[in-house]
Amino acid sequence: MARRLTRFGSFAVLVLLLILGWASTRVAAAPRVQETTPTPESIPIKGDRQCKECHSAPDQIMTLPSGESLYLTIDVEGYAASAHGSQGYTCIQCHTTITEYPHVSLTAQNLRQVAAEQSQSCKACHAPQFEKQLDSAHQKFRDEGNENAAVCSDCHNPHYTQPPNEPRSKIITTCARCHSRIAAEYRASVHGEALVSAENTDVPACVDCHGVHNIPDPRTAEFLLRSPQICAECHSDAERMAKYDVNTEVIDTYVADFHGTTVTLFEQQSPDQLPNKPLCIDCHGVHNIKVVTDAESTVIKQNLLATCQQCHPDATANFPEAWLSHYTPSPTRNALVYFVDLFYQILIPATLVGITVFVASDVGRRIVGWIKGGRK
Amino acid sequence: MSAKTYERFSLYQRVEHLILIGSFTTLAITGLPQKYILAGWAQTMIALMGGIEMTRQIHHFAAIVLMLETVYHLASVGYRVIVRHVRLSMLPGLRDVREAIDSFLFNLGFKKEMPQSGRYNYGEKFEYWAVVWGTVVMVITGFMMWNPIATASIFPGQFIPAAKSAHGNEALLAVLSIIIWHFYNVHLKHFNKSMFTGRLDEHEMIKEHPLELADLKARVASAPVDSPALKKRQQVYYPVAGVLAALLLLGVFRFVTFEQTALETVPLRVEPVSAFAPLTPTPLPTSRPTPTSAAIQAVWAGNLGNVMEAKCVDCHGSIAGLDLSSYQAAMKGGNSGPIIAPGDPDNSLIVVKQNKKHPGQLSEEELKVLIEWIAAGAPEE
Repeated sequence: MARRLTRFGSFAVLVLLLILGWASTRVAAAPRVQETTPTPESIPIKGDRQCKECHSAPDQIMTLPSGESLYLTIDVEGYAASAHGSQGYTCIQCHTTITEYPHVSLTAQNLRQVAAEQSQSCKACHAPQFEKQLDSAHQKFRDEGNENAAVCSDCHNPHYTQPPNEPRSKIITTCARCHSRIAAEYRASVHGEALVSAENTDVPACVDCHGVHNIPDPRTAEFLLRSPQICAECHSDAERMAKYDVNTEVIDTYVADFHGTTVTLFEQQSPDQLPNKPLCIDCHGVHNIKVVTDAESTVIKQNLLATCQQCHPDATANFPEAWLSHYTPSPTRNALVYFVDLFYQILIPATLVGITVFVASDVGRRIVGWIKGGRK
Repeated sequence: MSAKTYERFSLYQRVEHLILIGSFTTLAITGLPQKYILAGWAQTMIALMGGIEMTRQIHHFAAIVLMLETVYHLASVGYRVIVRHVRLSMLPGLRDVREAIDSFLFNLGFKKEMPQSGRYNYGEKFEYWAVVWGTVVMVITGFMMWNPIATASIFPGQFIPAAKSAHGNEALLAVLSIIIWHFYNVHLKHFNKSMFTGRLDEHEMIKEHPLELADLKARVASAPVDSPALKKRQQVYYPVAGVLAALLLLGVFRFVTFEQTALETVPLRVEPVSAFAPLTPTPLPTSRPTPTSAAIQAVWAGNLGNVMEAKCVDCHGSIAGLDLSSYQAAMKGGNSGPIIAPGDPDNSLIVVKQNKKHPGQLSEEELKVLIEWIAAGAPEE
């Protein structure tokens, strides 16, 4: 009995010690809790009205560690009219790190880092587009440390965002923010002129060839090998081409020729191999494509030899004629090729029919002889 | 049945034939898929051969073999005809036309007897000369495709696509003719093994080459060889043929190496302008500094009152006991007492706070007007 009491006593002491130990940590923790209590100057941010008190004022400028100025003024009316503002989205839904005033200090060192960090918040609502752009060349370059590569907010201004493709020519302006020289070339091209000056929807804007969010690097073998098919999407569309009297045989004749054949087979059989034969863009240009009758066109007759000489430096005046200019041979165009084809269209069946008849006569005689011989 | 056999093809001729089988078959297997490049079967074959570039290389290699074999064939035919005075048994003539017609009529039952053939019958001659014609066409058109720049420096450029058309069509004709004519005549009708064994037996000779057999028996098939004269002819032939063969081999070498630009160049795919060229100034998601809006008057109503409403009231509807939503409440102050000391901006708490950083920061212009207003006694209107 005494032993039992002793046991109970030691257990009770243990429990008591544990309780005391716990209580002492509580007491020690108490002052720390008080330390993080908001000072009267630290105010939780609850709604846009609070944000606007500072950020609607002009000249709200913060200097980043890089020395660049981060402008913090928002045009409140502009925001209210935007895709986001008109639907009632509040500032802190995107600016999720801003929970109180004074704000947490920025980790970004420069404007590009601010844009990149802030664009992460787009994912919450625009996940499919966000995921797609993770596969883009822009993301690839960012991963390689190029901070200039575009993030969401570079193309879609989050505060004053409007549909980015209305009117269609706006696409060019958007890409031109970073790709201004290419945009300048494009605007002077047959495609760009039609889009920019006349809002022509038959011509491609940047995104029609390059894609939208998962924009691939156009210098890869995969993109280059596929590029003739991109051109063909419109250029083999009879209805669209009829409006401008443009030849729709371009892709078929290209693929039938040595150059196009090689590129087509590379695309299908060795997609990692850079094309070593010309693509549409190598002769016609890329962003600066001119109509084939333009004096500046790379493929107008007087410029064609120079274009061939890019790859065939020794080519002479007759050489460009070796290329049939995307036309199927006919008696009036590329007549020599047409007549060689015709010659063989006659010679081959004539020869084959002749020898087949001869062979058949021999077979026939042997069968007749065999039957007669058998009967005997 | 006599076991006696007669030589039909020498070992050299049989080796030539094997080389021809190898190169012709290789050319056909690598070439026809290139003619029908868009067909599924063609692309499968090209893939199996290691891709289009490899297929073309194999094709070129087989073409070189065929050309070398052609040079050898010319030299050996020359030797037999010029040095050994062998009969020109392969030369076609009207006789062969008659023989062909008679054979056809015999097959149809209009003639009782099969025409009798010499060393080479009309069908064999047809096939031999078809191969000669085909090789000439293929070599010429092949040269044009292999060396398009050289070709276009002499001929119109259109010769190159025309050559491509002829090359492919001629190939199709050759392959189909071989399958129909050659396979029937020497494999199906009767498997003639002489191209491999080199010999025909008496029975085969009687059946297929009775006139040659008769000549052989009569010992008139070949001219008697006069040994000293033969030696003399050899002494002349070897150097002349050697020089000609060397020239032809040089021709083959030039054919193959004349130009590489069409095969090896990589297009100069250089972007003419740099891809990254941002606009200056680059548009940003937030507004740039703008000129200040219309000046505020140093009165509460309709001026400073509105500023307080916009910038302060969200918090100072109540925080710190301060209410800035009305003139009266503002003048009353908050927990720290009055914030506006009329006439004394420096001791007005609102100015003290605003001179430091404070949420709801007034702009410089607004603060200036506020100070002005307090100095003027903070009038309501």
